[in-house]
Amino acid sequence: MPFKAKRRASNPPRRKAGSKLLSPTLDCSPQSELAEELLHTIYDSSPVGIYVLQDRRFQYVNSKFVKRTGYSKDELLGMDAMGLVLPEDRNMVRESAIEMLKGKRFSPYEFRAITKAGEPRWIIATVSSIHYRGSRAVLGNYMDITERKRAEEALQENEEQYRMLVEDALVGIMNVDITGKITYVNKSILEATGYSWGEMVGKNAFSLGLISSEMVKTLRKRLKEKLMGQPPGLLEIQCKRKDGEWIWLQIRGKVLQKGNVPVGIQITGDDITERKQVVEALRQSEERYRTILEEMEDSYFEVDLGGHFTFVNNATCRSLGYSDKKLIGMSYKKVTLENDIESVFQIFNEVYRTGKPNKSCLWTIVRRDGTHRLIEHSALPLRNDKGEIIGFRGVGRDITKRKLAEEALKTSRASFHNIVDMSADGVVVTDSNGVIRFVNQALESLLNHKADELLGEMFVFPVVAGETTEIDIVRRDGKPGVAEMRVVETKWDGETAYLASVRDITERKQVEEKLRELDHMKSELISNISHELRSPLHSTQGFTKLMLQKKVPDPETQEEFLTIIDEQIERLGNLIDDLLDMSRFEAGRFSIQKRRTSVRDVIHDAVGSFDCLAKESSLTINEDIPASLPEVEADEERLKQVLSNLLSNAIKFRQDSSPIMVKVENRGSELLVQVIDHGIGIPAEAMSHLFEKFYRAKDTMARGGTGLGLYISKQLIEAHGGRIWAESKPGKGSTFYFTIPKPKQKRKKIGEILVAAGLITRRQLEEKLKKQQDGNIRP
Amino acid sequence: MNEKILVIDDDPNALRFIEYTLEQEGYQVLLAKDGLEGIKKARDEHPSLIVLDVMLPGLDGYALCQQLRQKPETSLLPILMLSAKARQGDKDIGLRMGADDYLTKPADPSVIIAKVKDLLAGTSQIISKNPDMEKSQG
Repeated sequence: MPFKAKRRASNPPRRKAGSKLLSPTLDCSPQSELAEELLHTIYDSSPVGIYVLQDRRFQYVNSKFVKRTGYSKDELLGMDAMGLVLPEDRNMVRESAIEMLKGKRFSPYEFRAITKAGEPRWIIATVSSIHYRGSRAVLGNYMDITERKRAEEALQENEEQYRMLVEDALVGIMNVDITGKITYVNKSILEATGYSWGEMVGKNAFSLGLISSEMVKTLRKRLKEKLMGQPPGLLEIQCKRKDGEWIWLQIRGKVLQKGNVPVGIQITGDDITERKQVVEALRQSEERYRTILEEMEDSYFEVDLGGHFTFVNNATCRSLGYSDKKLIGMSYKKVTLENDIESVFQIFNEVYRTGKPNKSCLWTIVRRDGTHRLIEHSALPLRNDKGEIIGFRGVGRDITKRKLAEEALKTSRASFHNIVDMSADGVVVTDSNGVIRFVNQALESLLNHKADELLGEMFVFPVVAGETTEIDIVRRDGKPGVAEMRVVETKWDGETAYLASVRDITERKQVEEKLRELDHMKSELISNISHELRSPLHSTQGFTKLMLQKKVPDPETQEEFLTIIDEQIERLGNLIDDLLDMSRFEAGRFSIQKRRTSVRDVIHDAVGSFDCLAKESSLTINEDIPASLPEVEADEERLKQVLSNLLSNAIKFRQDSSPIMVKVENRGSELLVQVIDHGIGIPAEAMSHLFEKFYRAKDTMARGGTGLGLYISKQLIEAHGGRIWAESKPGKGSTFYFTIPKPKQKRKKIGEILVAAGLITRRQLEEKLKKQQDGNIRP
Repeated sequence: MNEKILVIDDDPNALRFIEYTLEQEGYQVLLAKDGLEGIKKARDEHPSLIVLDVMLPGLDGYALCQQLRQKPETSLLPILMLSAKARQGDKDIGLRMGADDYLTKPADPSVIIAKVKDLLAGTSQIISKNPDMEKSQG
């Protein structure tokens, strides 16, 4: 019974005037038992906790209050009210209650109470001053608001988190109302656009200049669609920053609603400028590579590990003659020369094993039309994201033409080398420092060194472009020689070089030397001829003048002189004949008149012509001629000339009165004639020159003459088909030999027999013989 | 006393011609058919003058002339070269080698005689023109 306790209270609180919470007119004094009863009933049915304090102690608690505190009614009555308040809140509660009781505060106050179980509860309370049972008391209203408080706290916490999330989100967030006015932007948007909060919020999103007018149209349309309930979609737009720079944003719009009414749009956006740039760069780069791949002359292809084409460029299609569709999936084997397939496999296999590209490998491809092309390839590994080799890339260049050109060059080089090597002239190429870079065979033999001994060495002779010099060489026979070297500037492997052609001119030099000698001999000859001509002229003219001047009265002396004149004139005549013969030989206009001739008769004649001389100077000329001697085909006069020449030489060089012998031997197909003297002989060095024209022995041998006698004799004997030579021992004498061939009459005899037998006519024979002769003459 | 003239020539006909020509003028004529014989006779026979051919076998006229000039006893001996070598160059060589005069074959007998007479007459004049020779004479 709650009122029991109040009854027990000896000093009920004085009723304070001005208490307004409960009706101040309500008199809760005990004098009105009935009223109190009614009041308690009302209080107990209230959903609010109600209590009455006197001296801070509970005098009355309604059932709601009891329920809230967890205490029983009996426990509460008489309990200090502050015992229910969380100690930290007690001061606040006391002050608030006092202020309220004094009429300074009107709003309820909140505090934390503690239930009997120790659980804190949020309470909202008001107090007012009343008279209870005759004394002042405090009427309190008490409401547990813990649930509401918790909900509020949770909401507040949530909101704070949400706000921070939005505020600091990397994603830009912008709220616009249905008119397009910006109601909110987060940091990301500010950073991305370069505007400040104040510059954006409250402004129309479309009139900021942030978006191009075209984009504005699109966006307005989108906005309308959005508000009409279109599903959300992504949109990429270009925005102009405050500083004028354009950025790319990817945005998404979400309709903001209040109840079911759309009030605006929340736009979230990502700055995708960098991504856009990367994508664009990638696109350009890809396009560039694609262009290069498609436009380039070299073929580019990719194959899988099995060797099937997975990508081909235009050049590959052109090169192979297939369309890309046909090629994709085709095996490399189908377009590779059968002989090369294995080596191509090895090449790719090695690339696969080592992971290293092969930058230069050759193989031949077979085009669709069956023709072959030689291609220089690079083979590279093709990797996936993980770096694993999943195939190969190849780049190929058609070098068929180059190869052909190289071959042609090689061939032409080879033939050039051949020509150069075959050349009789030595060829040497040196670089600008004189180091030998090339020599041909002829030069090897000219310098007597092998090419490998010469290459890389300094060339021993100085090379000056445009000059021709004579250099001394050692010829193959080890004898010294002379070579002529001409140098021209040239290019060798692209560098300035010198090409020297070296010609062995030893022979030419010898010929030149000989010519000089000959020239000298000729002037000697002229001098000699002049002397030879003058000498007989001199005596002839001298004797003639003496006689004309009547200084020779004596008839015998006259005869002596006339004889000399006669001889000298003959000598002049012979001399002139010799000179004429020589000039005929020289001009090739010399001919002999062959006739059947008895060698014996010719010798008799020749020896006979020296009778006169023989008588005067105890000269003996013996003849040794076989009794039977065949006739020969010869020019009698010329044969006699040869004999006279040899005899006159024998006489000229005889010693004392030793006899001279003319001997004839019948030897097989020819007659051998010898003229033997026991004269001074011929020095060894003169022997080889005896039959050369203009040759005249020196010193003791110098006995006048034209130097033409033996030369003419040799020409004459050779014109007869014979040979002439000499043997000699100085001091002992000399023997001159010559041969005259015996005529071959066999064929003619057969012909004669045929004619004699009447088998052919003489005319037929002659024609036949003439034909044969012509046939022989014809080359 | 008849003056002695030495004729050197390898052509017997030439020797005969000059011999006869000079003998007709009263000179005593010595003959030599080559250079060696000529040099021997020039030394041994003391000729007053030499008629010398150039183209001789072995020792030729130029060399012979030079040798004679180098020997004191023949250094002043008049030498008339008579040669079939008719070029001016040949004549120059002859004079340089010491010949006093040079005639070309064929030569007229009267020209030969005139030259010989000139040379024989001129000996004293040539000597008087040469102080060295005067000295050696003295």
